[in-house]
Amino acid sequence: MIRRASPRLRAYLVLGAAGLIAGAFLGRPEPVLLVAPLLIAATLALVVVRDPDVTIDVTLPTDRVLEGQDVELGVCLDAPRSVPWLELAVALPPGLAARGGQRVVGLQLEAGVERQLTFGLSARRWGVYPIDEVAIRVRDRFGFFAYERTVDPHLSLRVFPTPAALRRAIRPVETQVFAGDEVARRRGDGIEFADIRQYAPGDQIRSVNWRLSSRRPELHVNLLHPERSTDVVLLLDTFTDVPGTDEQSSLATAVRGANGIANHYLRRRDRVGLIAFGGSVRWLVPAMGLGQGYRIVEALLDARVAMSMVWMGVDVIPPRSLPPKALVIAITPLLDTRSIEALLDLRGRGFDLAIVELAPEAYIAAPADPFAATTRRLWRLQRELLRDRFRRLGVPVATWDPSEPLDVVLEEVRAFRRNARRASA
Amino acid sequence: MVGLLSLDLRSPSLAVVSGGPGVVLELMLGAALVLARPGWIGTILAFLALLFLGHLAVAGASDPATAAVVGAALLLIGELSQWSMDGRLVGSYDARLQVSRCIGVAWLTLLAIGALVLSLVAAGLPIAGGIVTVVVGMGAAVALLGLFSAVAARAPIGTGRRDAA
Repeated sequence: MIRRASPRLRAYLVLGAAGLIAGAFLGRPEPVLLVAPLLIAATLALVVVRDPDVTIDVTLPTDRVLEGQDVELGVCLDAPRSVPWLELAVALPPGLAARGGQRVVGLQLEAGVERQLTFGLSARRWGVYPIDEVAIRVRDRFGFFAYERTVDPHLSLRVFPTPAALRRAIRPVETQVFAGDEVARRRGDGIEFADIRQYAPGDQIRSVNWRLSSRRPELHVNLLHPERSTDVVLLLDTFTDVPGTDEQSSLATAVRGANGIANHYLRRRDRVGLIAFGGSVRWLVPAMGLGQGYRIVEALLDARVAMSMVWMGVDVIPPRSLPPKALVIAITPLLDTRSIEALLDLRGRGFDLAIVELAPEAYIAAPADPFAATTRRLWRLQRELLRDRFRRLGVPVATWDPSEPLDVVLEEVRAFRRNARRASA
Repeated sequence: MVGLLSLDLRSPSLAVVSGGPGVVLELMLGAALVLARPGWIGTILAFLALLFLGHLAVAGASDPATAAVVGAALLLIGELSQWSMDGRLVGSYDARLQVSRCIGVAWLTLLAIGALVLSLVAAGLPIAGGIVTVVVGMGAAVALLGLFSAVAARAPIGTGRRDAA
């Protein structure tokens, strides 16, 4: 432990020495009597001082929690000698908050008696948070000496993002060849009724529509939609993060949305992949199952903005992570030119693309003066032009204000795609 | 108290001249407490001691008994100022900590006064009120403080689980 003397102790010793010298020099008792109490106190402090030898053990009952959940950090203190004044402080990273706002406690320890404390921690934002600094400071009874020590308990807390609730997802234009839950647009073996046509050689007898065939001179067969799986690739724009208040930001919202969408498609036995497209590119090849869900969550925890001025296009994305006929759902604030160009490029390459735009206006403060208000209006117009550009290319752009549920936003995408299909038909 | 003991009341102008630095030191002490600067305490104590010694030098008087009282007062000023700053820390602190500190400061002051009385007796210097009164007073103070300490020590410290928040 590091020992620090109080500035008061130094002052007492200096004053004491000065008083003694003055008394001896002047030959009068008053200077000595004046500083004698200070000298006595300083001597006493130096005599009774002892290394407190406090042992500290920090534990976390779990290392994984969901965003918004609480966890109790346990601290166990023990000392062979009684400690009259002990202060304990836990350094918390920004995404974690102390419940009740208290991160510092002051207490006494009895000799040989173990004392257990619990700190309630609130996980305010997803992420991986190290708890690597617990500081203790022990003072002697008179406060002349302070012993300080910082303990690294080597603990970390993984806070998983709360998945955005989703009841219906976006239907892809094309499905894959494997069986799944998505009713394919093409016809084949399945359950969902599609159409009726005249019997042709090679048709199975079980597909004959007997009710209709009995009223007609020729046989008719039912056509069905097969159920197929889909490939969904979530493209997370990590070029820009618009910081808001209270630990909220566009990236935090994007991660919650991506987690919700991934969970939804994985529950339907679809293959889901992830591309974090930004200063550094990270990807997960589409796969299905619970394991992929965990892999996606782990990858989302690592999502962060890496500052880079290097131009990046879709060429840097490995082809395996963007399979043909995949539905690409981009979650982006549409602020960085590189991500905008990449999305246009993907559309140009024929990918089925939908954009969930994270409205930056929701995170930034309202304009304070008329000039700023005018600038903001111009900026909005510019963004509307950009959205229109995507829409003209057949790409739905739904703006997501974090205050509204993701379902509402995806309904906008579904409506756009439905109307576009009708218009093209 | 140190400021009052340092006042030179022989004439109004001398009272103003000797009282001015006392007021300034009071203000400095107030500022140190408000701004929570423990480093200032030593300087303030040094100036207070100089103020009293200056008063003795100007008056040309020798007053060992008052010097001893002023010395104890200086110690008390230092301890109480530091305690005041320590007590303003942000966090959840046991009430026992303050009780323990209070008893610690009282013992320290009492010990210093006792040592001073012994030095005065050893040096054959006069003691205000007489040695018997001072010994009885000290004994009573020690007994009272011992009683407080014993009661405080018996109060249970939290040995089980305790929620810091």
